[in-house]
Amino acid sequence: MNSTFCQNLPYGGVLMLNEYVVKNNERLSYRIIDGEAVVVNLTDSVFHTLNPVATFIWQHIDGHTMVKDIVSRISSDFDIDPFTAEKDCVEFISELVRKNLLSLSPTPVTES
Amino acid sequence: MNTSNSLLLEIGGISVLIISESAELIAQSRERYTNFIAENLNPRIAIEVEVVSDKDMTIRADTGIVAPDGTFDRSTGIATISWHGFTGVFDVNKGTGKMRYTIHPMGLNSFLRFIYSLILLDEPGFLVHASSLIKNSRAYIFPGKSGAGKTTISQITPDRRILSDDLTLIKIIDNDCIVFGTPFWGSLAVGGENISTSVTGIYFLIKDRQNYTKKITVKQALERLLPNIVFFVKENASARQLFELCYTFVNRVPAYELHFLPEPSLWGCIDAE
Repeated sequence: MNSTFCQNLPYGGVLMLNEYVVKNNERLSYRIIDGEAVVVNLTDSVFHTLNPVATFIWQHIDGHTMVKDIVSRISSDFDIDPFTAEKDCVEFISELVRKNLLSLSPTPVTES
Repeated sequence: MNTSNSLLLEIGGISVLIISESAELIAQSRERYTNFIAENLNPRIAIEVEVVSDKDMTIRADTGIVAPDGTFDRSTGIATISWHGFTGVFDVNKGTGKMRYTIHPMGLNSFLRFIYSLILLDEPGFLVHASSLIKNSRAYIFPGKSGAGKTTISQITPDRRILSDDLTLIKIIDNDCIVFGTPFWGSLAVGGENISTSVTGIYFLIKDRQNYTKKITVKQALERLLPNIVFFVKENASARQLFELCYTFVNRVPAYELHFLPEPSLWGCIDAE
């Protein structure tokens, strides 16, 4: 699978997102309601409802799993071609990073 | 317990003793919280109130601070707040607090809101910006920001008992959601009655040209309820606790949009539910 280069992330440069792990912001909470994740930014109570694919991605964001592995799971579980799966996953993660709901790390996050 | 220097209140089933050397403050509070004065209870919370002159305050009442600056350290149980001419500190574990303020209508009331927002979490319960009332033995909650119509609903509803026109206290007890009257008022400038009962329904206010209700989903109810929750500190564990409480609440209580005209006829569509 090709690595995705994602512009406009809050790191000031171009990232090879596939090689990163993603972690939830500590100031959020979520629930799965009717198969869709409802994510709330606890700082401002802004509410985000995720579609089923985004919910699947969300449930695999654990600070340890690399983006490329999430993409691979989407492709197999939803029977989506790898390029589309990668595009959807990266767009979703990029958007939530911009909204400060997620952060990226080049290495798995160590629990404090 | 109730003397010229102390006043015992019970709000939401939680008793609070206010102690001050200022007889003026106690007299004012006795009048303001008249529906909530209690006797013969062991206070769960005790607050010492020091009344000072405005020049002695670090934060003056006119500094234009529009949002309270609250903190809560879960490891020590200590919460602090500075707002509208007062500073206060509250020990959640011991149930004791101290505040300094200039005699100001918002002072003690704001500190009580702050304390109750914290102490309710473990009841469990929460405060919500909402008017609430009992009509025909059924309790209704109407959340909304300023201008949404909370006070209007309280004013135009016939044969009702007002729980609050601004700040409603909810507890989740066993499988039930109970709403309590509070002395925290809005434009109506009248405290609620000190009564409680199970919640019949929650109605999100939408001013419209006709009256009708529309049932909404759990997800929609949660989305609309959360911005109306009253909480003053940014502390992750508390915020998550609140989120879970709200989720439990909207799962147990039917929620609606209430499109309404400001007239008593709006009750026709609510009563039809």
